[in-house]
Amino acid sequence: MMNKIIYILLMAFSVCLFSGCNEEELSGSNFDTSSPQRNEFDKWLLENYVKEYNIEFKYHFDDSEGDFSYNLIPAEMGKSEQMAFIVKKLWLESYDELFDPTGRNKDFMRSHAPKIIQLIGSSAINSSSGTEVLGTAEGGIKVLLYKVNSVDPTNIDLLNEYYFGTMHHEFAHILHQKKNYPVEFNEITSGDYSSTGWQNRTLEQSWKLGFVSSYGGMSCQEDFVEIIANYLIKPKEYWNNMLEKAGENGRSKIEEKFDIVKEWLFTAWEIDIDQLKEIIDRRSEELEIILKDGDYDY
Amino acid sequence: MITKKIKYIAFSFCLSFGFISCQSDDLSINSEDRVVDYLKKYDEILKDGEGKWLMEYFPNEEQYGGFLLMMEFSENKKVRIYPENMLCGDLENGYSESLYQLKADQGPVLSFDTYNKVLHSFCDPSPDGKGYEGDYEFIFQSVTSDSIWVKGKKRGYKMLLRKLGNEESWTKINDAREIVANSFPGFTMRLNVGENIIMMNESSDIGRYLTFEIDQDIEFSKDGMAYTYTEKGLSFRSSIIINGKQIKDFSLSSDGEKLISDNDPLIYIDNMPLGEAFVKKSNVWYWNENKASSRLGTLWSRSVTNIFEQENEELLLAAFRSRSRSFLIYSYSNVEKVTYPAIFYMDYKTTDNPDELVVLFEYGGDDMARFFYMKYMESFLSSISSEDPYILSYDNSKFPAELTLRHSANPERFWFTLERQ
Repeated sequence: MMNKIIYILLMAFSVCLFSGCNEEELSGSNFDTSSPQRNEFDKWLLENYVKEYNIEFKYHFDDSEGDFSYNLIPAEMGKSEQMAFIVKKLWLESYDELFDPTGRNKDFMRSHAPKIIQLIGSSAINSSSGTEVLGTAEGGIKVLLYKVNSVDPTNIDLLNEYYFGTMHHEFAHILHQKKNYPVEFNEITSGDYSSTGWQNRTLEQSWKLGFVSSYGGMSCQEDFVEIIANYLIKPKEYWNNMLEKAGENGRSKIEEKFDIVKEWLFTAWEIDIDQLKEIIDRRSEELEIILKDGDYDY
Repeated sequence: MITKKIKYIAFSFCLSFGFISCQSDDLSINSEDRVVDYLKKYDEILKDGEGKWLMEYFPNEEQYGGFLLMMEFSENKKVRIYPENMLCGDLENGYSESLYQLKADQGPVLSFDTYNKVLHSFCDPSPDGKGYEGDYEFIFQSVTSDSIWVKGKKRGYKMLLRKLGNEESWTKINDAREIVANSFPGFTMRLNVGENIIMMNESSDIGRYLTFEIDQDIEFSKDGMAYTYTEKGLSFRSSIIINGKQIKDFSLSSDGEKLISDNDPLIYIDNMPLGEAFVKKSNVWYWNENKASSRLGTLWSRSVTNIFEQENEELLLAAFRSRSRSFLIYSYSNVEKVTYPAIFYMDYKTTDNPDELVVLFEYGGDDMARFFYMKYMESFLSSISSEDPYILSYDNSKFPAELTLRHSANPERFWFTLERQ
């Protein structure tokens, strides 16, 4: 008798449960599944970023992507269109070309590039210190590009300074987090890394200690990626001038570290950094002409 | 007995599940769908007819007050925003176009999420990280076909959008508003409550926030209030109670001389004489050496040269601060790379003639003025100082940007023009 009751109870419970499930199924998705309205630029982004690279290029302001403690404003549509074009030509397609001169194979950037690029119109100004942030990247997933409304997108040097330095820097972090670089790199300037003191060094002081930038003196990993980013975006003359002003000690350390970086990029990722730099330099020149002529699809 | 109990428990158990499944289903079906439905419905309301809405917009209201904007919503999530005349003067066609979105966030949210030159000029953090501290994302509070209350997502200020009828034109509204704004500048405005006159001091910058200097005999519920110039007059941000009466909206009188409270004709705003406004209202009037008689210009140049030669400092600016009765200088030390302020004590007095002003140097100041800069500035300030009044003239009698003081006893030898920035 007891077993019968338990059996009935279980049956009743199951019926209630399943009837609940069935109702859930009938109600469909809890999210709005209707297709979003897309303007021409949205359609271009869908084809050129989402389908080609699986990257969401966000030009509408979305405070969930930024730091809400700052006062930030959205990016201008016109500037967003230019930036989308420039980032694709100068960053994504440079790597594509390195791996496949035809540019058709986009697997490398599709696999490794950050998945979200968010544009923001203003810089992130810290009102108490007066400092401003121009670009950040979070865990290899997301890149935030600030101050889009006030940059001249035809000034490639400025764009390198503001954005592409950060993008190459963060991208290099993604690469070394996936495949370790040789630990001997960490030994070369091991005595001079300072997590707080780097801010007090001038650029020339940093060079003399064997760092390509002051920020590189913060830690070995930052040093590692700063070498890649600076080598890729700075003109050859800048690099040579830095080596000259670094003195014998600084120069030999920078060169020793650069050799390790170069070899690791090639053996671990098949990236020839000199070839990549040539591609970026050439594309920068071409892009400058395209942008000045205004002859681009976005 | 046990069997009965078990049956009872089983019945209750099933019943409770039945209810739970019903309840949770209702909630789950309705809540998300409801938000999506609301967003669609609100979008339709915004675009309805010509899609024109008048917004009373408040950035940081306690510093900058309120502004009228017209928003025109249309298909493809486009919005045109029309500003008051004083804002964004170089706009082609008088508006800025951008995109908007309705999204589910902290409830249904109206987000202006691509840059609009009009709206986002209130939100741009340049140069100090704050800007005017305006919002551009708004949570819907209440929606009808002709009025929408929203709340700024970041600052929390509530604002009203009023639907404009097809017969209502923004140009007409804005022109009428402009007449009121030009006729009643915060610089000279005062509030009359029966026989009593209440001083109202502007906030800095744009200035549409008034602080009341309240006489103890009059009952006031608040000591300050943001305001907006409207097509018919002036509107306080919210009601204040003055002598037991709720006061919020003021209408322009038929002769254009007063803004009369809609609730009490004995409470009105008018303008005080300019000389009195100079003395009584907080303003900073900047000295310009190129707009002074040659005698005063020479004395000033000598002070500047002496400071540079003897202290290696550059005098950056000098200004008369009317209400705090002082003369202020900022000097930059080329040696220490620091800017030093110094304050000299002055007195400014009105006379029976509303166009006259007495300027007196009190031969005192703060420590920096007395111990450091006095020897350089004394001869210049003494030359300006006189018991004989100056005759005042303004470039704009209602909203002056320049004020010329001409000495009544020696008008050609002693005159200078001050500028308000």
